[in-house]
Amino acid sequence: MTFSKHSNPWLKIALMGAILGLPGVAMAEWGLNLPRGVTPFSNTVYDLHMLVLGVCVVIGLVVFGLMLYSIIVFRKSAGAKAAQWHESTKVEILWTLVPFLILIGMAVPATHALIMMENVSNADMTIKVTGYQWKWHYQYVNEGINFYSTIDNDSNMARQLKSGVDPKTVPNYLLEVDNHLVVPVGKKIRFLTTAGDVIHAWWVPALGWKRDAIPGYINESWAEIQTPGTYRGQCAELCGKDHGFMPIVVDALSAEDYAAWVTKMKADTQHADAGAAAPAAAVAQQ
Amino acid sequence: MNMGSGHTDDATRAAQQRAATRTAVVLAVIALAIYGWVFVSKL
Amino acid sequence: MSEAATHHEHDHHDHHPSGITRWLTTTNHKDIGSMYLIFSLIMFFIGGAMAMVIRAELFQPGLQFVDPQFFNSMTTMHALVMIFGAVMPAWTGFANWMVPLMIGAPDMALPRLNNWSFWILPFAFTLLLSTVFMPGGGPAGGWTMYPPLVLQTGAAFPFLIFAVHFMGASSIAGAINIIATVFNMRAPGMTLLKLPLFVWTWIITAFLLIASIPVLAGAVTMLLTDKFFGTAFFSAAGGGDPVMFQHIFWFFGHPEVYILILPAFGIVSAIIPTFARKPLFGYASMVYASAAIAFLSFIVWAHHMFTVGMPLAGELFFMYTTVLIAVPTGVKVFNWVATMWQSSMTFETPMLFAIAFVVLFTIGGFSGLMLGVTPVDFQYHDTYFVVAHFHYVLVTGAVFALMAGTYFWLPKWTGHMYDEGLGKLHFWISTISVNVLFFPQHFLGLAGMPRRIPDYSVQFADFNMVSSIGGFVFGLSQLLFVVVVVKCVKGGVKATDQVWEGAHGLEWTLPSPPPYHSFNTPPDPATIEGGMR
Repeated sequence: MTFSKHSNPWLKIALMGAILGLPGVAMAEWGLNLPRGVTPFSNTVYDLHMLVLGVCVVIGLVVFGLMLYSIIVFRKSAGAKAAQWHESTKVEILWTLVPFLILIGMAVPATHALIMMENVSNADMTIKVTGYQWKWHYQYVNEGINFYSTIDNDSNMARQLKSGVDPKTVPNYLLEVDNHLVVPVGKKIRFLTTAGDVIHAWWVPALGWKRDAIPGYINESWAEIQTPGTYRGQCAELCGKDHGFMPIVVDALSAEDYAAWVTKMKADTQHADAGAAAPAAAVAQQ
Repeated sequence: MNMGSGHTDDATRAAQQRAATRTAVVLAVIALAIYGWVFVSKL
Repeated sequence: MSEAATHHEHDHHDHHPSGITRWLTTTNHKDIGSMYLIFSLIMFFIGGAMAMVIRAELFQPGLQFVDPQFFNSMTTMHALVMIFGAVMPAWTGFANWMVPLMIGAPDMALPRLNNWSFWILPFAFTLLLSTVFMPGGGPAGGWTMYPPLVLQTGAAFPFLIFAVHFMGASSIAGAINIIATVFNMRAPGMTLLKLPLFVWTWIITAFLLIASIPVLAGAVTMLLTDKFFGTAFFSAAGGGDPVMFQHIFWFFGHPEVYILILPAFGIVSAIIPTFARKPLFGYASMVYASAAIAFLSFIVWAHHMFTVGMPLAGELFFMYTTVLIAVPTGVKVFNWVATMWQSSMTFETPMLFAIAFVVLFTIGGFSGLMLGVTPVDFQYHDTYFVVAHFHYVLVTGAVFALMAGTYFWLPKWTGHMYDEGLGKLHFWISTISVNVLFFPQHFLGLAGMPRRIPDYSVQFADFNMVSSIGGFVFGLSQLLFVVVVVKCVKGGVKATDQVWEGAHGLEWTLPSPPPYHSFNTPPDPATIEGGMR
């Protein structure tokens, strides 16, 4: 691409601006952006993300715009002669101070968001999440419900090397499990994350955060889901060969539906215990 | 080509070499000390 | 100066051994520099081949070519090879060639140490690369080697640890040599504040290496003893702490990334003024900004660990220090732009790569700033957003600067001009394809794709396919670079001493190529006074 001496540099700058602005439009409409999510924290995080991104885009347009202008106008082939000035304390102070102030402007809302996330107090329920190679275990601390959650069989068969199965034919390929994590909407849920072997990480983007699951540690996080629905996530810390194959599925139900689910799970557990106890009692009586 | 004010004489070169070796030894000791400190502080 | 003295100099040093013996035993900074650069280029292609395996598997959802364990070993080895085998040796190669020339010294301060520093590397990488063929395969726990996972590595484990020790020793020795050389062997009149920025950034890099590599060595030694000698530094069951490894590793790891980029800043600071025919704007603040970045690099490490469960105070501290690095880095970018402003530019290949560096490294800096904002990092961490960030700063950053520097100094090293048409073609194909490769990865990360996975769910398919296509084109186009380099070494238009119209610096006062031994007689201080800006 060559620019003749007589062409208008401003036209080209406008064109460049439009091209650079395109990603911003694309992100909003084509699902390329961070999701807003369904919790107060996830929305705060989304807003902060857009703020920082916006600052970066503006600074980028200014800096790259100046560079583009220089490339077009200050070229030897256009007859430009080089100035020889090479310092200015005033200007250096300005472009040290202004970025510093912009950073403070971003640090304030970021600090508020972090304090919000770390406030785990007054939770309505607690779920202990344990990462294993290569599945999750969930324990509802006060309800006495617990189960493993492993990648769904259809996905697991399809993902084998040279399986011949087209992933597009598998519903929620790599994002489906046998036992979903069921939770109520509108309640503050405290999550305790730990692991039984190596470090894993529990991540559901719709909730707005991920937390490492570390053997010997118990990490605390919280979420209050505002919209009923199914939310999917994945392990987010390399944990061995099947790190990519231990997904997470959260079903957020209305209060009534959740209560019904809890009742059913407890009943199932009692039947299972009774079934296991009966033969044992029979043996003991002999 | 090498339009110097004069050939570097052997005495200057030897002095530079000694100084360079001193610098190197000091830095090597610092590196080893940091390596050792990593363990000692974790025991 | 008498005729006799000049003759004496020429006769005395111009014979040296030939063949393999020459290369095994050389203590000459130009020979050793060349060996580092050739080694680095070979490693770049080996690491690149691993990247091609990764992008081939990720081309479509489903597993088509490799099993997950092998895939993990590819991501692990790709990083180790690129960081320790390609980029770091390349910078050391540039330092070896250019630092003595730039300061008017006859060679490095410790020439035999220099030889050993180089030859450790082929040995270390033979150890590391051989693990791919061992039972259990190569290490697959990530280049970050987190325990407990890394302790599940099979036969490859001790080879990994020893390879890291050797690579580290080589880097420390090289760093010591550079500091000893610059502090003690400068020609009269070459004061510290007259040094070219490439020398300054390497001095600072050398101090970072001496402070951080021993910490890495300590960390991997502790992994070794945990595995074989009954210690429990990182095992919770044994009373240890897996997170402590992360703290120790990243205390090394963060300065390490500045080690990878600071010399690049020095190269760009040499190239832009040359092709703009205008002095570098704000020399002193460029030096101070580099030093500030280096200092700050020691107090930001936990931003690699924001999701590990640190106390609130820790998270806040590391967020503040991390975003603060944007200030001195921004100063450098603004100074490069100010150098271009009201200049008179031509766009030979080195300048094209240098300008692309400023734009694309800045984009990498923007994603870095976003990553530094802790609450949002909870979403970005361990996703392709991070992968996009570090590839922008390392590939379009460090590697582009290496390309720029190679094109810039090839005529000096070889005495021939490289083929400018081929160089420009290499530039354009590389720049377009590298963005096709890495820009979509930002979107993948934001949309929820974790990193270090060999297969992904269907909504990530389109961008992965685009990225892989960019990867294949980028990889192939680097063969063009080899063609340019080999062609230039073999011949080409004779290069003048100064090579480039706007070039200033002691290296440009020597013939192209310079004699095997240069500056046995230090340069005239008047040359230094007149030529330095």
